[in-house]
Amino acid sequence: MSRLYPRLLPGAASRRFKDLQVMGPQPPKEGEEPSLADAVFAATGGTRVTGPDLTKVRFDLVERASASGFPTQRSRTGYAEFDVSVARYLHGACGMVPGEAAQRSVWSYFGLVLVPDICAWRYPANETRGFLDDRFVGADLTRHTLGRLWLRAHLLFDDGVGDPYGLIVALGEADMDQILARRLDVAASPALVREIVRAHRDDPRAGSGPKDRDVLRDSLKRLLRLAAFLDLDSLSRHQLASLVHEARDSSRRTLESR
Amino acid sequence: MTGSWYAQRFRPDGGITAEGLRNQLGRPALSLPTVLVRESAQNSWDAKADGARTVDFTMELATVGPAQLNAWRSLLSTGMPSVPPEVFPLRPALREMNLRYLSVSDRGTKGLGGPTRSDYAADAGHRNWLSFVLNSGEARDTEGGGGTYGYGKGVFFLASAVGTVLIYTRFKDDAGALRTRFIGSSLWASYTSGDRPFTGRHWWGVAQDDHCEPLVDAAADEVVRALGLPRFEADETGTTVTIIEPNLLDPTVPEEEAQQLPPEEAGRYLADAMGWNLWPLALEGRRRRLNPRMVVSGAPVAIPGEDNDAVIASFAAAYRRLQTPDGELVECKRPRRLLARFAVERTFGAKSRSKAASDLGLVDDLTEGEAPHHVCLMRTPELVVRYVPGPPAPHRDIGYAAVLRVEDDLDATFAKSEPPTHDAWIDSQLHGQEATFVRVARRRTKDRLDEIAGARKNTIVAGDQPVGSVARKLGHLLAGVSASGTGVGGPAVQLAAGSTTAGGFGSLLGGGPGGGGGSAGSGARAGGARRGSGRPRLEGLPHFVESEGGTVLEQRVRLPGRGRFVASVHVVTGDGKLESDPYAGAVVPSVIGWRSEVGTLLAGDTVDADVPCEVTLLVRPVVDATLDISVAVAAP
Repeated sequence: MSRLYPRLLPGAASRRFKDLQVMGPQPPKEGEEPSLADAVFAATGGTRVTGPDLTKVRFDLVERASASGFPTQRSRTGYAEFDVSVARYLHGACGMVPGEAAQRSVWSYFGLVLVPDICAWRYPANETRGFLDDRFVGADLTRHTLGRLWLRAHLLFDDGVGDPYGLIVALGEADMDQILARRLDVAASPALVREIVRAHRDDPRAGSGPKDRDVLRDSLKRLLRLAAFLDLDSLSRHQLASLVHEARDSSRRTLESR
Repeated sequence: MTGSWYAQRFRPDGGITAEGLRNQLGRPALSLPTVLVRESAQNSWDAKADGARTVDFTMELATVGPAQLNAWRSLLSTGMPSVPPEVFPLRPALREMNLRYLSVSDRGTKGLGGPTRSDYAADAGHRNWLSFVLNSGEARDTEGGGGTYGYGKGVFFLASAVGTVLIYTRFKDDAGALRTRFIGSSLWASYTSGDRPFTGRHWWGVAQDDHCEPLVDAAADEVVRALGLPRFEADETGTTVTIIEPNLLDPTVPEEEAQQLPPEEAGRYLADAMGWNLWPLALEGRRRRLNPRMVVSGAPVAIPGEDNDAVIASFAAAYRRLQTPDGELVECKRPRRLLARFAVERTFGAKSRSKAASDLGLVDDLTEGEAPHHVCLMRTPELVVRYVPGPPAPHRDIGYAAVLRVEDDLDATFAKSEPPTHDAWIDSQLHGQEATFVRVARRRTKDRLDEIAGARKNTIVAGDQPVGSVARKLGHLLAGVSASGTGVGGPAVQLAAGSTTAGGFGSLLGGGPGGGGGSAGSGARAGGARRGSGRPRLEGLPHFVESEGGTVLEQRVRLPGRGRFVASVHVVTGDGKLESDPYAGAVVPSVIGWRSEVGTLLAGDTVDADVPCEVTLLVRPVVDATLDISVAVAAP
């Protein structure tokens, strides 16, 4: 049964984000249930989470973040661990169907009400612009601190293999961002994304010749050209894989010859 | 009563030798199994019984079973001439443990009736036995028959490694009673035995002093039962010719090295040959049709046809269109005469791969297969005369299947131009108008095929950089492909190229995300004209032109009036944006230049105009990409 999460509507979200810029994150107080003020639920489509449910989700997220250094330590490896474990958690344990996860206002609630402290730890304020709104307000699913992790898990979810989330660890955040944030159309086909990540992870020539990242990025550009007229959704897994391998081979050859 | 061998002696007034008869067929260009299928099916088709809707034509390849082997040996050894194996090779063959045979049966045909001696007069309807078993070179007497030369039966003897066939037939006599006849016939080499010369023609039957009579009725049926050969059901009529030790060499290797095909492969080859040579007669829905079957050791082998072979389906589609308004008329202007009808079907992804198709010139590379680029020639009998190749289409997945059928009243003329194997039309065999008709039909067909294949016309010089590989890959977009149900078995769509017009490419991307944004961008540039003279406008869709310098994309552009205009071309990426950061080593499209209405070429992306006019923008495309072409007023 899918679960419905509270949604923070855009007006309330931008008000709370302004408060965040001024006062810093205001997480739910210890022993209190997360506030449902300004929050709404979808009328149908699942079971509404209860206060205790939300407390539990917050507890789980804090626990995972703490394992990676929250709230005081910030490190690249800690962030990477956090991303992987939270991606698994959000996609695997929260009972959120894609239709719910696609609601940007749900992520606004997570970022601004449920766990603003974790988001602020993960994406601290920078000196010139303060906190970045799209890391807290659910405006762009590929940018939101938690939304992008759910999306990443959803795209890379590989049903039918031992660990369906095994592909999540294969790409670092910057590389994944290449696919998600900048290469919209490629990301529109989860099957293609999985093949890209799989090919990157399993490349027998990794570590030799051109940088792995350069091969990945160059091959993405090739695929992006093809995506303009190929209907990627109609290709079988095997065809997608050979498309990706062909692109990677060509990129590797060209980069090697430079 | 049983039979024995009868050896023909030379008469005082001479006679034709076995070698002479064997050579009548000449050396056909087609392989022996193909000729066997064509000639025997044609014999069967010509012999169709009045009123029969279907002629069943069955080839069965088998080995004589152990239960029958003794019968074969004892029956066929009776009265065997005591001559060396070189002149009568059946003798050693009968000692083999694996005695193979190929029986060719037709049912729904007349059978071989009429007199059994050639010195008895017989009218046209009663000469079947004479012309099939005894005589050679008789003119055809069947309306619309294909066997103009009467040599068709010669192939049965050629197809036997021991020059021997067994003929079993059932027909209705004049009283309407069903009668059967059985005779063996051998044709190898002439020889002299005991000071007496023999022609080398032998028959196995009821030997008389000066000829050989067949076994008839119960005696014939009894021999066939003992030999285990196909028999007749109920009131069937027809003929079964059994070729002893069929000569089925692999036709794809040179004769000297060729081996006998294993039975399964031989059966496959014969089945394919039936499909490729007989499909017009086998089409469903014909008033009278031929039903070809192939059986190997009791198991049926599928015959390729309209239902299960994409290339034959395309030829069949063209054939069916001949009589519709889509059928094109092939005419001779002087003298004015309708010669034939022509129709064509475009194919995509349909390829032939069989050895039998390769024998007919339909395919060179058996592993890759080949798309058809042929016209199938036909006359009134509606057998395939031959497949004449036209120029191949520019892309290997694209092809065309055409059919040319001669008008009925010219059937005799074209038949006369055929060699004994009916596989070509040769006008040098004819004179006067008849030669003209054949020549004109051939020339018109060739011109039409050039047109269909998109042979080059209107070449322009538009660049000096070779883009041959691009041209080859893009070329198939030039030929209009009509999609029909025949394109089966093709590879999955791999890569294609498209092109778009400014302000409109979003729709060609199939509504891809962000398409609108990109197109608005290019539109805005064109709209940024400040001179108040209006915008340049792209007219119609761009199209590819093959030129000597390679493939060029042409876009007509209407320039609004006085001013300077600049063209740009970009790759559009999957997110609907113009590519700003191509991959390493990417080929990017470029503007070659402009061509004015009078044909002057101007290199570079900028053009000046004095008055409103229409020009052609020349762009060098890239393979596997969607392009955006835009023209804007140049910044002052």
